[in-house]
Amino acid sequence: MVLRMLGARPVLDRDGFTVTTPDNVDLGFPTAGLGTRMAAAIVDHLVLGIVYFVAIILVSVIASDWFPGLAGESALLVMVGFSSLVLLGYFALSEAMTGGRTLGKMACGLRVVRSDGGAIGFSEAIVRNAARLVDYIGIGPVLMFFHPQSRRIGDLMAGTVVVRERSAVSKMAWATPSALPVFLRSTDPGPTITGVDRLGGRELGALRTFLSRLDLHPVQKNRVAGQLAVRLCDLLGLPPDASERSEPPENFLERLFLQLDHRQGT
Amino acid sequence: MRLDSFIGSRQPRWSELDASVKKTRGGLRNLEADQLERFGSLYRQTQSDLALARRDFPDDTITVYLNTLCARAHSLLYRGDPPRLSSIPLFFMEGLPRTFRSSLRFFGLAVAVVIAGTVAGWLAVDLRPDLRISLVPSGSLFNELACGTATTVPPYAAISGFVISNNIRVAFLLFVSGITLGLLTTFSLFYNGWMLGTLGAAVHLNHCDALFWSYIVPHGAIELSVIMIAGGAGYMIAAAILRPGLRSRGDALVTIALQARGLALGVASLLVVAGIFEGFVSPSQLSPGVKYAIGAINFVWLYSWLFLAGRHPRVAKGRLNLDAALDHAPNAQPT
Repeated sequence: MVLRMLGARPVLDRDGFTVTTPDNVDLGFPTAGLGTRMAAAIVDHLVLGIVYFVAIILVSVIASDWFPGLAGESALLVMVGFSSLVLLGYFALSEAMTGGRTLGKMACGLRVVRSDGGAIGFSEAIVRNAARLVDYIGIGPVLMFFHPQSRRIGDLMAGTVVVRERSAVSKMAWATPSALPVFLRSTDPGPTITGVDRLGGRELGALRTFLSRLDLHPVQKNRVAGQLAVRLCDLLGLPPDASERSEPPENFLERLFLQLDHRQGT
Repeated sequence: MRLDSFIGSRQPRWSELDASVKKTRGGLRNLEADQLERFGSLYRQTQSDLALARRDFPDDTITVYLNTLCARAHSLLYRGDPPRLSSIPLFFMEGLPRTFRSSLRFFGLAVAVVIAGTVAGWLAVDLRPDLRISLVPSGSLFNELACGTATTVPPYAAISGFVISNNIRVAFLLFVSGITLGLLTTFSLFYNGWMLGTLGAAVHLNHCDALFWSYIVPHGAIELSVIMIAGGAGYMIAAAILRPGLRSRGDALVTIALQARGLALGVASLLVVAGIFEGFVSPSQLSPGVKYAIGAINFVWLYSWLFLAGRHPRVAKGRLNLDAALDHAPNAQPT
């Protein structure tokens, strides 16, 4: 993971879209994939199904009791007829009133936002859920599979995207908005490493992550440190006979971290 | 700047914004005026912190945290107008008829397709009268009418609710199926016309026209109009994809869909009225003449509303009417 971070793009650009705010700051929104959205849909339909099942039984019993002329089955027919409206109404109203969430989306940590990042209103909620009539035919899931932002027809028509609010990273970040503690054997940065100017915040971040891992097995740690040290030596442009290359890798990484951190502090 | 000091010095304002975001939930209306002002400034500060964090600590979790926080606050601040109950009468009195009139050519196309379906259905039954049982849509009442065995129309009151919801579903389907470049819209409209045409021709052969037409006309005047208006809204969407003009297809689609949405939603509510007529007036024992008159009245009020309402915008009291101001702007010559 640490090694990958050295060459990785920022976490949020991988799957999501960026909105430039009026203050000219880019906000990244991670989009929800087909799987998560299906899971949310299953929860929603399950809830609706149970509620509807109970309602149908109640209505049939009451109708055949109070209006003997109106048989239970015609009450049933009316309820079945209303089911698609209840379905659309449930989705549209709950999304409009909670700022883009339904019970299923809450359970899966999803939210519908407009493609400019704003909360959706009544209009968007109506359009994207009326389009379920077309999406349910089977077009929706296929389109979501191929669309880079997993949008279905309703999303395209209403200009909305479903984003993840609780990804693994953001969950961790929500809980601990603090710098990772770093464990060092000494605080002596040692002699200046040549070419340290070539490294920046990304390398420092990778070092910080590595050094904060107390839980690594010593053998594992040594191996990762060796690989990391070779990559960093190459990035530093050190010649093959440089003393840093023969130094114990963990020692070298700690010194490099201290020097980079100090440089960023000034 | 060191990560520790960056976080240490700014943590309080992030936590404050975090707490405000959690507190607002549905919308910003839960905040007091001073809290609202504070919210804006906290949001802007955190946003600039995010920009700093992007530059200095691009891979740290703190950047993800700030991004998540700003994204939540952003969607609370940048949103459309919340729905107001008070805007509904104005929408029906001005907004809907105006949208209808501005998209008249799409409505015309939908009408043409329905008429084509009707004529085709009528001709089909006229050419092969022996096949009329299989040409008319299924349904016991329809079959009886086609066979000439129906003498009265059974009372349908209990089914009224079913009919309403089914018709609303059809209206919405016509609207959103515009996304299929109008193909599905055209098919549905043509099929609706086909049903009317085949049935009309079949009952004509059986000489029970009065029974059939007096059953169709009271609610049909509204119902068929709504179907055609919703079809027109579907064609608006198809046109936005086929001829987006200066916008991208995606943008044009969203703009038109949100505009046509009002049309589909507004007229779909008329289906409730149509459904009540269908449940209580159409199958009733009133004489055909009275039923035709009711149908004619429905036709007249519907189209006089669609064509005449909202022609002269009223300026609401104490409120700037932007539409009116823009309407009169070109005529206002400097003197």
